[in-house]
Amino acid sequence: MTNLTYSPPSDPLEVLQKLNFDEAIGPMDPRFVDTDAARGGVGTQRSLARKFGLDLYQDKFFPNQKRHVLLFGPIGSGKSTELLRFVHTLEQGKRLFPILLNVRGEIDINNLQYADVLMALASAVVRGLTARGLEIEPARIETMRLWFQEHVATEDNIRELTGELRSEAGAELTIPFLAKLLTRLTTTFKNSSVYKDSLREVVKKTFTQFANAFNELVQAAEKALQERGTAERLLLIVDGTDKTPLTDAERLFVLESEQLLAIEALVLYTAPITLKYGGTSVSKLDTDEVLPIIKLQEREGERRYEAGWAAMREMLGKRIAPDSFTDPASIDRLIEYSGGHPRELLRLVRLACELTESDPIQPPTLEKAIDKLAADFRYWLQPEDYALLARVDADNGAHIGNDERVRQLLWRLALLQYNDGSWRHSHPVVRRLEGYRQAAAKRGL
Amino acid sequence: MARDPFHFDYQRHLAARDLLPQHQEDFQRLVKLLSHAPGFQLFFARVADPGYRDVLIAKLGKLMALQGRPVRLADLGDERRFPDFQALEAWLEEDEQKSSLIHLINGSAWLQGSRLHSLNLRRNALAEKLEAALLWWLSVPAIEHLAQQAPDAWSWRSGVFDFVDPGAQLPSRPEEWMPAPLSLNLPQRSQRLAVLNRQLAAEFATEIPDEFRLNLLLERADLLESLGLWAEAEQGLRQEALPLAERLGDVRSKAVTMGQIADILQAHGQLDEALRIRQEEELPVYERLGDVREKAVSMAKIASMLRLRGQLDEALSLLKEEVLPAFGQLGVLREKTLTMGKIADILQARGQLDEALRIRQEEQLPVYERLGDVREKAVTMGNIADILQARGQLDEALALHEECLPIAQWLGDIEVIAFLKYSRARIRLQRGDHQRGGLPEIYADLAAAHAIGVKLRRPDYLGTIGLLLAQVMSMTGEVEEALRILDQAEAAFNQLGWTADVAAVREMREAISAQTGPG
Repeated sequence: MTNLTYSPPSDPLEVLQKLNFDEAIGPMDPRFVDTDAARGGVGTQRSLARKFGLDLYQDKFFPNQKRHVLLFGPIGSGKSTELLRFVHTLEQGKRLFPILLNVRGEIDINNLQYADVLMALASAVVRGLTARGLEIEPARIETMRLWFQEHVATEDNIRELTGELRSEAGAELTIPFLAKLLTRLTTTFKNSSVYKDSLREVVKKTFTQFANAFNELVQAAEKALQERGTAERLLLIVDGTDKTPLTDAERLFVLESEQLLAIEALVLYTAPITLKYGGTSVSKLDTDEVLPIIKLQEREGERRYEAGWAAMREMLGKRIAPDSFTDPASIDRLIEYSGGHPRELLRLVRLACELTESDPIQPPTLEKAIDKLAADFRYWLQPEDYALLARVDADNGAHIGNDERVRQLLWRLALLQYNDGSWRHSHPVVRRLEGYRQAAAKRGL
Repeated sequence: MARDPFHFDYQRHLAARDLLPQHQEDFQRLVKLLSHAPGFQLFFARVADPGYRDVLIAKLGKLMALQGRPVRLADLGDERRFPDFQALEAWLEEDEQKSSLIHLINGSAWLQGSRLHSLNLRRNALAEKLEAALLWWLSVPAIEHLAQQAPDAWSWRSGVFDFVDPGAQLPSRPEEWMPAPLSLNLPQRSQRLAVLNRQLAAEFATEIPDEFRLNLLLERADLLESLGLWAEAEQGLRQEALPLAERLGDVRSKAVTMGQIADILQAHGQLDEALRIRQEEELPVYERLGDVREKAVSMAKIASMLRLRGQLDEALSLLKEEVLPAFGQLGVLREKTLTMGKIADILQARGQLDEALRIRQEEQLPVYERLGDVREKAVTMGNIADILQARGQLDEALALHEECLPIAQWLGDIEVIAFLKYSRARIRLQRGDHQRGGLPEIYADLAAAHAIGVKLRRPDYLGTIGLLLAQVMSMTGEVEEALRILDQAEAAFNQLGWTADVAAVREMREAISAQTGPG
């Protein structure tokens, strides 16, 4: 899609056809919207770059040897989109060479473990080098060859899988062969539950050697980049790890964080917002970064935050033509009820397109769409949840702790947080539910 | 696939025509998504009755077949075929037809233990392999369990569709004096609406002269009302038709538009504002224009409002002295007969059953039969059944209601459906069916009728049906819900100013509270 040819769809059926919630929008995509100002922080790219020792504006670069950063945020808040932009920005400079791995496409993100992630990451590094035509001398990745020959090729349960590759491994490990090998192993993690277990076992039992091999690969890659003058360091970016089931995310980033930290590299992972308040604070990963949703009002609720409204309007206008609504005020109505959450805005648009019996869409249809979105929350919210949400709203977003209930409400979007998590409010559609209204009435709201 | 949006809309409406009215919206929404949403989708459908589920599955099958899209069904209750998730996954993968829609049924037991675990583990792999929509039909408790206890699986959904909730939204239309939409059944009305929507869409708008456009807008509002989309109808009237009529200086059309708005307000119990519109913005215009027919229709509607307020004498006098002579003078048989029906309503309310019955049987039924007006015939038969019931002829009354219901369902006229279901439940209660295992049917009828009242925001429905529904709920032990329904009923009766009924609600509340005791 290019800017020259793009115009947003106006027919509700066409809008339905084109709405794909899982699609991340890159910065060159005409549907991309810059949300830095709208989120009310210093800017995601700037903030992330600084984590890795890079000042984007002054082009100063003082990285640590290794840094493992988690980027938290509610699902659908725009993390993947921000990462695509970050990658694009880094590619314009010569400091950090980004390798983006979306685990969703590479491996099965359910029951995700560190072995799966690291194997896929190694594969992504090799692919990244190959794509740039960068060669690595086989001697620089000798440890990887040894690890494969000694532990993978000899493992009985996966002999069949590695059969044809064993003979090719020979005495030297070339990058094209390594690419083939790692792709085969990563695909195994994705598609075969039988081989997956065996392969995981191998990685776990020989983790020290595997980690050494991985680190050697990263060093070799960075050396090749430096020699070519392409970049000084690699930045490994792992997206999709925020979409794993919570128990898996907890295992990966809390229980298995030591294994992740054994990797001597600059790494950025996405992580579910719930985990920010549930365990990662005790791990050694860097857990400061939160991508907030878009702010529509100041905390006191009286003053609108215009930058937020402008970004959301632009976002909406790129997904559905403004003349798709009979009343221009409909656009702000949808934004208001999205709470500033980009995916919730798209869900409302989708519901309105599902429900409309007219083209353009009329305001009563929007109200139905809002009610439908609210009804989704009614299926699972409990009286205690409503009481808690009403309490947050009554106290003007005040912090009420991060116990299990609060974390669940955050994860399931009944509770939205703004400005790096400094204040929170209930999702606006939840406020239309009777359970909430009763709870709010008790608090005099 | 039905690429032509007009044809697509028509097929959707046609398929939904004989579903329970409160489910039509979700059904049509589901069809839209099945036809247009891209790639893999997981939908949950909430359904209570397997028979009804099968009706819905069959309808979806027909629609998909029209689009040339194969459909499959997996009965997860078949333990031999689907002992575990792996077996299901293998079955899904071996789909040579490349199905677009796959139904999963009888799978409540899959929402726990190893199968749920496997579902969570394999969901992404599945999503990548399948280019189809999975539609998982689950019971009410199963859906609740899923939403509350299995957030991972729940978060995977692309949509939830409700084919149970009696509180779902339902359609209807206000009191009918114009013959036009009466001759159209539900699919025909849907088809006409699709045509109008297309014509009135922005791209064609400039081609239509304003006065024609105004007529089309009024017709669309009428159709929207008939499909229960009252809010949309009111919106279109206020924001499009009214400004256009004013711009054109067309006082008659403006009065007609205001009259339609008043219809909606009247049905919602906003009697004062509706009455003001009739008296200040309709009647004077028609008088000035010498439009005897429209003036008589307005007065008939005013009489209806007076009756709703309990001013029976004033209403009767207006109908007999003003409305009936006017229609008689014009020689319009249908309107004259409708007026006779209004007179019979009042007589019936006063307890003059013989005279009311005579009017229904001799002056109404034969005329509607001759005119082929199935809706009014069904309503009249329902009214006759009410009189028979009041006389204690319960079996005959019930038989009449049973005869009318399929007609109303064919018409898609949920206002009448609610009336008939409420009446049927009332008779069954009176016969004591609830003591002989008939309570579930009675409950279902009242819940469906009440849901229509909720959708229509009709205070008379909310009050009258609610009062009986609460009574039945208290029999099934749903005390809390019964009290909530009574609160609604009391508010509705208060809005109408029906003080005797407010007192009846209070008595019922005390009876229910006494039955359950303190705490």
